[in-house]
Amino acid sequence: MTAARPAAAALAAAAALAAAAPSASAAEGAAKVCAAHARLYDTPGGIVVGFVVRGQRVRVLKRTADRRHTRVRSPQQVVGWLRTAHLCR
Amino acid sequence: MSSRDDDATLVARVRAGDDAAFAALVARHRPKLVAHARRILGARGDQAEDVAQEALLRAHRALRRDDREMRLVPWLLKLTRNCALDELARLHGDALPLDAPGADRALSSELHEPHAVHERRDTVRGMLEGIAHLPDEQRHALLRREVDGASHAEVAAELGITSQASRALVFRARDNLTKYEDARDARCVEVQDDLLRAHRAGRRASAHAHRHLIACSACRAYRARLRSLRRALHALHPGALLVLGALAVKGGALAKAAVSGGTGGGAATGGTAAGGGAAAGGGAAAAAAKAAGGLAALLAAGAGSTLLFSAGDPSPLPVRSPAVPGGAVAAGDPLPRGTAIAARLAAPGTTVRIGCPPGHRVADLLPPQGGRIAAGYVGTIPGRSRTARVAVGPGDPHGVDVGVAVLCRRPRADGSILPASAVAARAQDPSAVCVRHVYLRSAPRGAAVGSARLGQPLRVRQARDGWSQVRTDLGATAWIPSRAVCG
Repeated sequence: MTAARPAAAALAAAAALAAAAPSASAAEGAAKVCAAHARLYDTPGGIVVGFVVRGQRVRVLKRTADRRHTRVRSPQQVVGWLRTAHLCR
Repeated sequence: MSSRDDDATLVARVRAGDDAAFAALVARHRPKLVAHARRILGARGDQAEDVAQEALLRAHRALRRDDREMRLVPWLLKLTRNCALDELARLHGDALPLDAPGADRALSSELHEPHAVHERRDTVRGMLEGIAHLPDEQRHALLRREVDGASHAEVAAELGITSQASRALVFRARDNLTKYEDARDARCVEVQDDLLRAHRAGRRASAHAHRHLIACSACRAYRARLRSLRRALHALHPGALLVLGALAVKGGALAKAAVSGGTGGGAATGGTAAGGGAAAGGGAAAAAAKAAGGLAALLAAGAGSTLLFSAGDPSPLPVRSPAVPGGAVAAGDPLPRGTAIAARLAAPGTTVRIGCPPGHRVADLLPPQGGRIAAGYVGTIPGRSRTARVAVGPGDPHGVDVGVAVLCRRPRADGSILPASAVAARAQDPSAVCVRHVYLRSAPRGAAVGSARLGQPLRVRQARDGWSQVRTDLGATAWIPSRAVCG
């Protein structure tokens, strides 16, 4: 019984984590840039507002419905859309 | 053979293989040629016999070689003159032999002191170089008039021109020789300054400088160094050099100019200050570049100042942006109408302000030049802001400055900074985003498909339940909350 308690707690924690996992359209968290030098766009395919480099950790703010672009905030506090392919998996 | 045979008959016989006819010609004209050579050779008159002999040998070969019509005497004089000039050119570096006639007097006379001899020799050498660089017709006319004593009518007949044209040729030849002499004696510092200015401005140096280069090996070497420096810099950093080279050119042209500004919070404002800062900023850049004449000066000139490239100026770097017509401008191509680039150097880890020219708004941030480094707009709204604040990442441990450039666009009547071809929103439907940032969504409350920013023009297609379906100036169709749209 006592052994079952931690297992139940772990299951509950896992369920809670799963519930907190980022959704397709709203993904909070951090990610690492894998492209050597990638552009940040004002809107996907729009004006370039910044650049990030490989190894930088960015904060993920949003993802497009098709997940091709991710809105991020860079360590320089630059906010823009980045091609999701440029983030490390 | 009669001694009264005229020259034409003797020439015909020489061409037929009659050596006796050539001997007759030699006997008839040799004294005249020797005297002519002696006049040209001056102090080297003892070589006149040899020179005349050489001229006659050349004449013999030439007469046997072809049958062209000629006026024998002018032709022989011309051959003699050329041989004499060759002889002078060959001898101008030689020392006068001590046993030469008059050598003892030469040594005792002040006029024949070594420095005086050297000076005269230098003058002769310069004159010969000047003559050698004259256009062919001018050279021919001048030498025939000054050395052979030919009349303008004779010169005109030889060149197939009028006597008046012959006079003009001689005048221009004398004028050019005078200019050449002036240029030869010009101070190298002035010529090198001229070369540097021309190099910076990407234009040809003055004719005066080019005349000086003919005679001055030091200045030729200086020009070669300028050229090799440019090539080396291009090889080192093609991207950075486009900006830096352009900084130099623009700094040298000193025109449009520099907006003073520092890094961080102390930066100056943009476009309006540009005009006022032009002369001072550009002048300082020019002075610095002139003083050092190298990359360090260019960096010093570029750091802390923003340089503007307006419509029609060559683009200092390749541009790929929806904000320019056609989506791209190659480096060196003229910037399209309503487009400008503002560039400056920035130290890693700093934030700099870059102002667009009056009437323009901030558009794309162009890739940093000089290294892969993070950078981006902070507190800047493309299409609305006139000055961009660009935060530059920490860069490499050496902290080398990078070139940061902003594309600026003059907004259209509807407020869009995109070219007409890319604008979907129509001028008569001037709706715009009136919040700082809004997500574009695939459906009301649906998933995000992009963003729109404050002031971005758009066209409202339909509205329902507090949501508007809009088409942005980039062509994207999406839903945004109606409260974010201003009509």
